Amino acid sequence: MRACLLAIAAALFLATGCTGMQPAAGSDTPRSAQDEVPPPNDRLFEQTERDIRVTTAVPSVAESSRLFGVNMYLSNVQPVWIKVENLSDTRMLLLPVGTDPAYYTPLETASRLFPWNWIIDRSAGESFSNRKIQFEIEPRSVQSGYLFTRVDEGTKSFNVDVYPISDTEPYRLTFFVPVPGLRLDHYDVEFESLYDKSEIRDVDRAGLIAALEDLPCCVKDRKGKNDGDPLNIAFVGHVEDLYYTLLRAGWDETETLYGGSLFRTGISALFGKAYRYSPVSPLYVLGRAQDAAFQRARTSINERNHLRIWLTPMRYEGQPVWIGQISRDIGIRFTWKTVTTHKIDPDVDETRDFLVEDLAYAQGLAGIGHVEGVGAAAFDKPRQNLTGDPYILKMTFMTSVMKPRDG
Amino acid sequence: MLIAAAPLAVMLFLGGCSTNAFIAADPDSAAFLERRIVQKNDEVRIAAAVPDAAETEALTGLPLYSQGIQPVWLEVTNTGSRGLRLLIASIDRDYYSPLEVAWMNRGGYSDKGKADMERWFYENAIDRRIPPGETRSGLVYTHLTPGTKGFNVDVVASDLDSYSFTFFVPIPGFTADYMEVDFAGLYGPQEIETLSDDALREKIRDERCCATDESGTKQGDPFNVVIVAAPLALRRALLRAGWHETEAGSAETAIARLQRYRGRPPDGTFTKSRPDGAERKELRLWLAPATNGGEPMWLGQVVYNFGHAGDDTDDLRVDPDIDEARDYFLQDLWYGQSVRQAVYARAFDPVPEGDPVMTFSGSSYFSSGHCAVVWLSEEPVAMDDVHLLGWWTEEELE
Repeated sequence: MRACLLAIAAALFLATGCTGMQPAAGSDTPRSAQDEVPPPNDRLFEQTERDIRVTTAVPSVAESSRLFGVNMYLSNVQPVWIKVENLSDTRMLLLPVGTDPAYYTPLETASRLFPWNWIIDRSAGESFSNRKIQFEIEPRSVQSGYLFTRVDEGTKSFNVDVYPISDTEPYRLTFFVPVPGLRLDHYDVEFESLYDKSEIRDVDRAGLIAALEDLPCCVKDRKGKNDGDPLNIAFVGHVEDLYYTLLRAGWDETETLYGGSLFRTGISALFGKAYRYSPVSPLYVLGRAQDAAFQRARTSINERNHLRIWLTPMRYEGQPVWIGQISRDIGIRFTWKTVTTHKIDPDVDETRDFLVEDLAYAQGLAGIGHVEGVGAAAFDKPRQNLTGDPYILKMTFMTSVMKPRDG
Repeated sequence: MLIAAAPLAVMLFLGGCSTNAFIAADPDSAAFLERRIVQKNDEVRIAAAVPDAAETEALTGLPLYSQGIQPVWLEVTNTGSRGLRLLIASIDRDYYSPLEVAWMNRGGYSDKGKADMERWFYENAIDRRIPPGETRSGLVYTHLTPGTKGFNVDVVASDLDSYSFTFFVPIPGFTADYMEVDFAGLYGPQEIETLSDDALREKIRDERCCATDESGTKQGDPFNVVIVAAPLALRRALLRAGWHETEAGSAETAIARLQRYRGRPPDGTFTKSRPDGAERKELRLWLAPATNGGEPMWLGQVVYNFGHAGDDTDDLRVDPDIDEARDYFLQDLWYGQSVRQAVYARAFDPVPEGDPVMTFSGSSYFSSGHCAVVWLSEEPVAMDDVHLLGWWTEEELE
C-alpha cells in the first residue's frame, strides 16, 4: 500500500515538473532514461535522419483500452507513441500540429472520455498528462510519450516534425504504421504477382496515350456485361508514392466487405455518422475487381468520394501505370437491385478534377495531362451506370504523374 | 413503434408535396456583385463576391446558409497568353459540388423543378479552365463561416507557375467586435512606447500577468501570448489559420468580455472550433500602448474551452493547462505561414499544476510562466524560414 502511494506521489511530482515548454535555464533537467514512457507494443517504426532518431508505435483499440483503461477510439482519440532522440548539441522543438493539426491536449482527452467527472476525478486527467510527450527536447536527450490524435484505422499515416532552435534545417519524417483490427483491400493484393514478367510492357508517351484511349469506357459488373461508372483517371507512379500521396491528402483505405463492416455502414448511413472505412462494392475492369479502393469522407457517409484503382501491365518511364474510377457520393437512394446505394454526382469530371487538386495540395503531383477516353456525354443525354445513376462527362481521361517522395 | 413510424411519415410528407417549381435568379445581375472585390496581376484578374443569407436565398431559391453552405461568386479573367487553371479546392478543400447541393435540396420539388434546379447549378458552376484572353465566372459552394469570408484563390498556369490570392469579403449585417473599437483613440501619442527587443522583453516581464475583473481588483486569466503585428497582418494570419471573428455583443463570448485590461474588455475575440467536436479555442486580444520595429504590440489570452457540462451554461470547462493552448496557437500560425519570428519569454512566476490559481470567473490555470511572443508577416513565410529565438530567460535579462 505504501509503495503504491509513493508511486502516485512520484508521478504527480513528475507531471508538475514537466508541464509545458520549460526554459533552458534553471533547475529543469532533461528526463533520464528511467522517466521514459514505454511503447505500447513491439510494432515499432524507427527512422534516423542526420541528428535525430524517431521511433513510433500506435496502439490498437484493445491495447489503448488496456493502457488508459477506456476505449478512446470511441471518442475519436487515438494515442500515438513517439520517442525522439536528440543526438545534437542544439535544443529542438517537436511540433504536434505536424502530426495532427487538430491534436487533443491531455486534459481535453480526459474531458472527452470522462465528460461528467473530469474535474472531480483528477486522476483521469493525470493518467493522460503524465504520459504525454514533452515538446521540448534538450541537447543529447530523449523524450518519449503519447500524442493524442484523431483516429485513423488501417494505416495511420502521420508526420513527425522537429525544429532545431538554430538555423539547421528542420526534420520532417513521415510514418506509415499499420493498426491491427481492420482488413484492408491492398493487403489482399500482391501487386508484384498480378502480372507475369512477360506481360509487362514499357510504353512511351504515344503508346501510353494510345493504350488509355483503347481501354474499355467503364467498369463492369461481375459478369462483364453491363457498363458501370466511367474510367476517368490514370496514375503513373510506384505503389508507395501513390499511397503516400493519397494518405497525405486524407484519403482512407477501405475495408473489405464483410458482415461487421456492412453493419457499421448501415448504422452510419442511418444516423449520418461518418464511418470512414465503410466498404465499397466490387466493380470489374481487366477481368478483376479493383486492386484497391480509397475514400475520402467529409462529415457524413452521405458525402464521400470513392476511388477504385487497378494496376495495368504497362510501365511508363519505369513506373507502373494505374487506371481508376472516381465518383462522389452525394446521397443515398433506394434501388430495386441493391436496396440502397449511393447516389453519385453525375458530373464525374468535377469529381475527377477535385481529386487532382486534392493530390496537388498534398504536394504529390509531378504533372497532369488529358487523354481522350470514353466519348463525351452531355448534360442533356447522360449515360447510366450499373444501378441506373445518370452521369455526364465533358472530358474524359486525366493522367496524373505522381511525384516521387524523394524527388 | 413510434420511432419506426416517424421515417415513414417523413417520406409520406416529402412524397406528398413534390409540386414546387424551382425559382432562382441570374447571378450576373445579382445586386451583391456590387460588393465585388478585385485583385489582379500581369496575367490574371480575379473578382470575388459573397452573398449573405437572404441574398443567397434570393439567388439560388434555397436557404443554403441554414444548411451550412455559403456560395462564393468568382470571376476569373486570363489577361495573359498562357492557359490558366483555377484550383477550386484552394477556396475550400471540402467544397460542395454544384450537383451535390442540388441533390441535397431536391425534396419537395416537382420533376420539372428538380431538373431545372440541376441545370441551374450545373450551368452556374465556374469552369476551371480559362483560355488566354477569356473570362469565366460562376459559383463555388463552400462551408459557411461566420463573419468576414476569408479564402485563398489559387490559379495555375500551363507550365505549373502558380498565383495565390487571399480575399477578405465582408458580409453585410455582421459587425465583428473589433470593428466597434476606435483603435486610433485608445491611446494618446505620448502614451505609446517605442520598444527595442530588449525593452520588449522587459515590458513583457513587467506587464501585469493577467487581466482583471470589471472592478480591477480580482485576478483574471493570464496573458499567454504577445503578438507584434500590423492590424491587417494579424487579421490575415488569424483568418488564414481558420480562426473566426466574433460578432459584437455575441453571447458566445460573454465570459471573455468579463476580462479587463486597462479597464477594457477585449478589443477583439476570435474562436476556432475542433473539426470533430464542440471543443473550442478562444483568443482575446488587446492593443497595448507599445510598438516594436514600428508594429503594434498586442496582449492575448488563448484559452481552450471544452464546452459546457450538460445544460449548465455557467459551468464552462476550460483547460487549466494554458501552456497547451499557447503552444497550439504558435504552431497554428506557424503552419499557416504567418510567423516571421517567435520566442518564449518569461511573463510571470510559474504556477505549478498541483497548486493552480483560481480566477474571478471560476476557472483555474497552471503554467510555466512563459508567454509565446510572435512576430507576424504580411507575406506568407515558408515554415523553414521562421526565425526561432528559443527562450528569453531571466538570466539574460539581469
